[in-house]
Amino acid sequence: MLAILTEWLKDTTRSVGIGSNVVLAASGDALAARSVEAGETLLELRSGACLTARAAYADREMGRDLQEIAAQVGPGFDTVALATLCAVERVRGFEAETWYAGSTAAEQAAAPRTMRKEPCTSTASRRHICTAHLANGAQ
Amino acid sequence: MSLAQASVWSPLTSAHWAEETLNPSAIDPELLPLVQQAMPLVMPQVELAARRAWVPGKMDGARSQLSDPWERAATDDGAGFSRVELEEVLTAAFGLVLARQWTAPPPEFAPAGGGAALARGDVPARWGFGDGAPEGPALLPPLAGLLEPEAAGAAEGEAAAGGEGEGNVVLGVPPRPAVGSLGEGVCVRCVAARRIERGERLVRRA
Repeated sequence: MLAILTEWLKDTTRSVGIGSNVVLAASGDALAARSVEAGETLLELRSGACLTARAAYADREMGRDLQEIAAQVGPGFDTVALATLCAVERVRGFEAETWYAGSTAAEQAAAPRTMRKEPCTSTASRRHICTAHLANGAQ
Repeated sequence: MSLAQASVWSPLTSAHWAEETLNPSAIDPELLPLVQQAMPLVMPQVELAARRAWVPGKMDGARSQLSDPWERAATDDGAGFSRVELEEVLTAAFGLVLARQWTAPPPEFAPAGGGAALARGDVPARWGFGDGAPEGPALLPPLAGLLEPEAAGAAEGEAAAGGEGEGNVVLGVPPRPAVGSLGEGVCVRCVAARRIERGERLVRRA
């Protein structure tokens, strides 16, 4: 598992510094691969290693449905979208079909996500899940 | 010929799930009603994905070829995932995300404040200064003590660092440079807060 994650992170679209500056121990801890001085950059994570709701909205199977739900629910749905993606990854066995009828994944991934922004108010509709609160409550 | 392959995010999501399986996250009781409100909205997507993923024969009890114990147990009746099993996995996914997500990016580094100096002010809206940089909550690779969100990372970091008392690495978002686009595409930068010896555990400074 750790070896797979390490190899995945070594792709320069995902990170810079894994292997050369940072190594992963069997415990999952990150260790310095060499001595460094204060101020030196050890690791840079790029967007390919930063899983946000954008990946859920670009999913071949459920991306468009999630975008529609997000537009109805309003701001803060990203946490729900992330959880949905994690659940779906699990039931798919962490696999993805290489082919999917009617797939528009490429254009979805390229297009900027649009969500209707609504304020979170006490008079919001019953379908309005205040997931901004959900997100804030996590920490 | 199989039409399935490891998903793009599978190294990250499976690593989080592996940790979640070992140490399940409890959902804050105050957030539970919100989670219960959200689940019916997205359950159809999970059910559809489960139906499409189920392969007769492959997921069939004693003859199962599945290596994942959870997946094998969930499908050992030869009938795929039940509604209860899908509710369990979706609930666990909410627990995972609520416990492990970064709700917002870390602060920006100060443009001229030295390597590990963070700018004071609002949390940046995006993970990076580029216009197309990701935004919103995010799951980062589960590097213990270094890339864990505040609550879990701070507690574990302090415990693991022992007498150090504070971390040795500062995390931040690179600022937009005055000239050029150096650092565009970088979501998070980890900078040594002091001299670090080879082999030393990297712990994020809270």
